Amino acid sequence: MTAASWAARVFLITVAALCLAAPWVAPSGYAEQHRDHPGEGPSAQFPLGTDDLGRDRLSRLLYGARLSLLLAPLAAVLSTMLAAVAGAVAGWRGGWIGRGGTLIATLFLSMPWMFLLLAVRALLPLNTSPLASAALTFLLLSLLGWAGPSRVFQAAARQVRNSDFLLQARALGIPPVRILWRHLLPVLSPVALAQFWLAVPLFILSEANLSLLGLGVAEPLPSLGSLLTELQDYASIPSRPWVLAPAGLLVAVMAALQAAGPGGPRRAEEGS
Amino acid sequence: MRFVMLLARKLLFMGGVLLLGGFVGTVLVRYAPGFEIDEREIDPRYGAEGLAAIRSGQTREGVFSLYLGYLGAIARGDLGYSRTLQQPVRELLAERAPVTGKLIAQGLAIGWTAGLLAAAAAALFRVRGAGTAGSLASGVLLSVPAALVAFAVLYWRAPVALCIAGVIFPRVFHYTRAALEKSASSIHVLAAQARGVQPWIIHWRHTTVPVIPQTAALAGVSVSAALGASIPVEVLADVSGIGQLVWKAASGRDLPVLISLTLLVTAVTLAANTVSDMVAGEQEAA
Repeated sequence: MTAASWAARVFLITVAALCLAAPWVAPSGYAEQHRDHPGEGPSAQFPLGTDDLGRDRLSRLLYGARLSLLLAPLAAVLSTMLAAVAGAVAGWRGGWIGRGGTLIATLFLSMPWMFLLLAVRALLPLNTSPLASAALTFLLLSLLGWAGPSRVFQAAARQVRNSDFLLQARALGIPPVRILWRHLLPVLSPVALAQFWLAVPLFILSEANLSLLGLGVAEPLPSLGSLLTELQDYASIPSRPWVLAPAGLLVAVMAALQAAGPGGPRRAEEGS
Repeated sequence: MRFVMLLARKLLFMGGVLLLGGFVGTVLVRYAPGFEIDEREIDPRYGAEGLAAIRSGQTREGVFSLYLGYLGAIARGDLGYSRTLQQPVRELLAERAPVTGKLIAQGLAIGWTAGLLAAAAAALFRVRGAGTAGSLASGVLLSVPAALVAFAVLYWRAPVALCIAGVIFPRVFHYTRAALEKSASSIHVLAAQARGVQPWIIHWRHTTVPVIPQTAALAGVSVSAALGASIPVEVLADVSGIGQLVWKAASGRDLPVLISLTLLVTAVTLAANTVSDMVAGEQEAA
């Protein structure tokens, strides 16, 4: 592991620890409005100032990063598991199951998933609670993001199925469960880890795009993406540069996620 | 003859995927928890009778009849009527598709040109700092959402197509650079260098030409990425294209527009992938 990878991991752990401790370290709640201080600049009381509703930006940043850093990995785990099961079954069984798996994955890959995501996200009930909207947004991301990784799993499973050592294992009469456990799983595990590290930044970015369009995490719950909506008034940024703090943290977290995974930056670039 | 057969097979596959894709889109939309829920239902001014009247107007059509009805209408050239924009969907698409097409074409042209030039500078000509600068630029671009790039472009009053280019550049740069580096270190290139073949011949004939099929295969993926990025870019930059239309349709829960757009964009993505696969296949065969 390189020094950059270590530094990225330390940074991510620090940010995650701070965000998880948000209820204790944040100066106020994410929805708490200080109505005497709307739209203020940084001060001792509000280190990153307040938004137009008088909410403390630092507190919202901590809570927002906590939401993104908790839900994106959970969605990535779900997406990777779906991809692993679908890809491994298709690759391992081959035949019409394999062809069917390939067709379904191709179908999902051909579909404009950002368009689908917008459509399905927009059709959630209007009275969905903010927390449910956040959970559903990431759930949708994981349900629509499995197809690409499944092809990688399918290729890996097919390679094992066609390998000489597997032929020998079968000839020796080793039970199928043991073959799956001892021979397929060790091959798929590093693939799963790599796909997980690719999915986390992808989901954070997708959520950010959705939130900026008003279709992500609902107010007043903050996320790294929804906090960027303040940048829509981009003409005023030079006079209040502290509103760039969420964008800065997002870029730093994304860069760290790309550097921290197996293979480092190069892997992330190839996976994009 | 081989090409015609391949084309026929690809078109058949495209048609099948398109039909299935439309169906999957309809299923997802039809079974979304808020499907056909009227915004007036959460308006406290409506009493129980008012809500009952609103709900009685909702059809609750099954997914098969919904999709078959939609396909039948498409066969008659009717793409439906947009409830939110009060206009036939066909007219909306005719107005907006050229705008998005132009934006994406410009973005792809800029992104591909910049990516290829940067990759060539880094891998072929070993320009000092080109690799680091390209990696840094693409690392940053990979770390920001397209919408944030749109803000930056709007702030500096730069052409909106640069946002699309910003999404395309990292993909083209890294893929092409890796392919060129691998090609440049192959044995036949080393042999050509040892025999004193002119550098430009080595760069072009022995290093670049072999990676063209691989790079061409990336074209389909980049069209798909550009279409996805067009949504936030068009919304934030107020460009009246397909991306903005899908956002308006999603915000207004406008089903006919959403299904038509899903089918249209799936068709464009499939066509781009098919063409790039065939070009790559032909190049490889040659």
